[in-house]
Amino acid sequence: MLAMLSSVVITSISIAGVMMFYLFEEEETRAAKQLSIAEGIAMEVIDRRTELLISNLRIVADDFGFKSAIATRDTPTITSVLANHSARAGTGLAMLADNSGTLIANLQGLENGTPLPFANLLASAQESGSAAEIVSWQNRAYQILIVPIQGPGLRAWLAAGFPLNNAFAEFIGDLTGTQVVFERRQGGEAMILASSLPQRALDQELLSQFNKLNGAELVDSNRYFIQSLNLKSGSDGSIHALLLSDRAKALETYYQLALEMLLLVLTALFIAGVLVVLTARALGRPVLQLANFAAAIGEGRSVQPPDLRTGGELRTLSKALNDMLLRIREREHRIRHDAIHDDLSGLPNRKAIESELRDWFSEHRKGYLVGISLTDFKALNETLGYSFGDQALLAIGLRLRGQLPINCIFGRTGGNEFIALLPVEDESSLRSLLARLRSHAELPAVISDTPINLKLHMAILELPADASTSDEVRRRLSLTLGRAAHAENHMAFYRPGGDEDHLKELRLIRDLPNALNDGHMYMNYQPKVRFGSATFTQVEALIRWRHPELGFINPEEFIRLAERSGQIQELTGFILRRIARDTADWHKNGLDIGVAINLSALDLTNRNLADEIHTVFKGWHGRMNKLTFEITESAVMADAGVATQVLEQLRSLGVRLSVDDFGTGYSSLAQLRQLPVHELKIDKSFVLNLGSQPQDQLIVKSTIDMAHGLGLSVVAEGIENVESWQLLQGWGCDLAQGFFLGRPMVSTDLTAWAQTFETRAAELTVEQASANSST
Amino acid sequence: MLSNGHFGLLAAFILALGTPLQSFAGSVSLEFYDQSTGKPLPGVVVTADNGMTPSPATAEMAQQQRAFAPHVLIIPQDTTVSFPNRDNTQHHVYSFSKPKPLNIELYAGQPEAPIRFDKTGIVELGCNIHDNMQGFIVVTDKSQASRSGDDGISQFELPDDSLEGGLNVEIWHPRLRNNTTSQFITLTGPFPITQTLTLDVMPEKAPRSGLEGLQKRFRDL
Repeated sequence: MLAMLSSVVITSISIAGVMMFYLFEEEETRAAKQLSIAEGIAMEVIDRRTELLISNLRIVADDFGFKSAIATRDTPTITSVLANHSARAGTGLAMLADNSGTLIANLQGLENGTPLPFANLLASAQESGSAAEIVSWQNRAYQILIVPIQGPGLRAWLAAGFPLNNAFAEFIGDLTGTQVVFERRQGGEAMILASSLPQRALDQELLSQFNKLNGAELVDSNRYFIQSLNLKSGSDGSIHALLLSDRAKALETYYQLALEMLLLVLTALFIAGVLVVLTARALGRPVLQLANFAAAIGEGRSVQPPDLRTGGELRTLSKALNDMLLRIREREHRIRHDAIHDDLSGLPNRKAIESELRDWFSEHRKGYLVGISLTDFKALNETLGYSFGDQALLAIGLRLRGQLPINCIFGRTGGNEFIALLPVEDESSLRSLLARLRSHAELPAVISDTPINLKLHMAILELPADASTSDEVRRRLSLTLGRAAHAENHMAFYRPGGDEDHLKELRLIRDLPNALNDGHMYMNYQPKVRFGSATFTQVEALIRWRHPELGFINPEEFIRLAERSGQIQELTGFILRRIARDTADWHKNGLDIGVAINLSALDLTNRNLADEIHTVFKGWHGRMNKLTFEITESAVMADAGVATQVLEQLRSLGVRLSVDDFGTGYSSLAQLRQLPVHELKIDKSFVLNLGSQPQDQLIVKSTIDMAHGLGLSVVAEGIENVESWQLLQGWGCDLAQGFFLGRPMVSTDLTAWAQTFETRAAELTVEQASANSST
Repeated sequence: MLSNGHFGLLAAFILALGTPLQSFAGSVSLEFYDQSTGKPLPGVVVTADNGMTPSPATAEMAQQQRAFAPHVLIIPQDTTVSFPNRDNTQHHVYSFSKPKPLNIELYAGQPEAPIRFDKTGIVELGCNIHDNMQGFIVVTDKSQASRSGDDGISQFELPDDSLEGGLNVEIWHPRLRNNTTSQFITLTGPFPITQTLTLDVMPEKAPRSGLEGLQKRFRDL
């Protein structure tokens, strides 16, 4: 299409160009031809005028009355005849002279009796009967004819002439299509006699151009081609007719032609363009429309399918695009719906709730956020199956939704978590609403033919006081729900600060690895003393963490966090290595004591623990029985299978195993019998107030007896006074631990303590003696 | 042939004039040539004063076959000339010549009155209808008048005393460039005088086509 257009363009321009080239190239040739023709015409006109003049003059010359007037020298009559004739023939000049050349009458105002001005011409007329010539007279040129007026006895000469004036120049100019200038030259001087050009056109430039004229040669100036026509030459100067071909005028026709050609070309181009556009519209426009349509679909804009007036493939394509649009819309709608709705219940999902929350936060809307969970949902799933659980969730969701005001947002934000955003301002109406919710939701239900009582727990956050971001909501709701599950009325309001604890835990979890490396974590050791001999035989290793910002961290807390965050192995490893190093130091100092190390419940699931201990305490081979590992009762019970294996591995290392905090758990003696342990450590809660608590005394005494009966040694911790020491000593308890004997201390203080204790040892045995004596 | 017809009457006149003067012994022989052709020029009218005055007479200038007959009429002063029309067409004879302007309006046959030529000079005659008709009347107060013959020679006798103070002779020819007046020449003696004169005359006109001016003009229209 474009090729077609360009070929049209190129062809048109080429044709126009070639034609223009020839037109302009021919300019001079044409001008020369034109001037040559003009020259012929000018000569012809002059000749014709001469003939006209002759025939005019003949009539006059033959007129008897005129002749008789001449004969009688009737000057007024002659003059009137001349004037009459002159007017009729259009001659400007008329003179009558006698045979000797003396003026008889004239129209030029010359004095009669003076000689005729054209003596030469008269002579030649007398010679040959008549004469015609172009002469210059009184700064004008005349085409003059002299004819005889002859009668019997009459010899006179009539001179008549046309002036070569502007009018005549214009006349010839009009005939020939040129400009005509009559010019006289005498010597080197040129003089303009008449011209068809206006006076102002005869500027200096043109005049100088005239001066260059040489004979019949063609001269071209900026404006004209000029041809000189010699009308007369003689000693008294020459007269020329200059024929000027106006270049602009000559070219005007060419310009006109060029313009027409240009119009033709433009028309051709226009038609071609229109054709192209029409074709493009017919073919391209629907395609373009479809392309735009497809682009709009791609951008997800809402558009109407283009109204195509074509058939065939384009229509099929249009239809396909339209179908595509509808399907895309449907899919988009579904995706959008799915994105913000829960699969199971069809309720808004977390995303939807969070979006709503953002609105609440940005508008500082007041109200309550209530998180609702099925109590014991996990158990429900496990006992009745997941599909049952789903049904239960669905039932609860529907019941809650049914009881909530229409305008309140309610959705399922997790497996077992619903959230309702209640625009309720006061707590009492909230409580009544929640009571209603609960009473409806907890009505007995039948799911898959199974009657069931569903229980809920609810957590309430007051907005915006309790949370101002989605993250906070999520975290605090989760915390509060956890509390609500165990709350008396299964309902909990968010407790300010609860979340801060949580945050602290998070931070501790985060800081734990660094603490191990940076030395913020260190070991304390608390001495254990043998009752009978009051000898220092062992220490319990206790991990300590002094956080640079949070200060002293409770070991129970960070050990629990380490367990939860999966860092307990690293922590245990750290503890083991540190103890190994510290004990090595003691040994160098001659302090030969055993070490008791606490293991967490999770440590007992680590099958590599035994290997690790074996590696770390290489130096202890042969006296591994100096190592005691304390395991809490609950830890042993939690996962008895693996724990027992690990304990067996430890025991096979030759270390001693101790059940820590004995008496707080539910371990039966039957279980205890099964465990491969060597020692019981009576929980300090029984020991602290032993002196004043007869029940504790009974429990402790019988536990010692029972343990001894089972072949286990017994450790008592929490001994803070001499009474407890003496009682336990009396009951045959094996090892003592407590502030009464020594506080936990850093490794380097142990040697000093040991020396001090030696001085006390005698007292303790003495006390025993005295006690014994007193008992 | 033509010249014979034209000059018949003139010959008789010259003869009449010349007879009483034969006793004088001065002989003049003028030989005329046409300057342009170099040929002898006939028909040159030569008049000279021979001491006598010619007496007036009557003469006739007829129009015959659309021409004046004779072509050149030489008459003494005060001679009365009649203009009979012998054609079947009318003629309108006129002259603008100073010695005797005349105008005889259209007529056939004999005009009402003959015309007396009282002044000397050349009177050229024309017909207003027939432009080609041209005739001349030479009015002279001299007794001696002659014409050159076909050989261009004009010969006449003059009294001896004519030479005193120079002999003035008038010569005229119809084809002189200015044929409205005679030319004067002065001859010097002694007798016999023989002189060759070359005249600048206009070429002889071609024979007439026979159509006259007016007819021609109609035809041109």
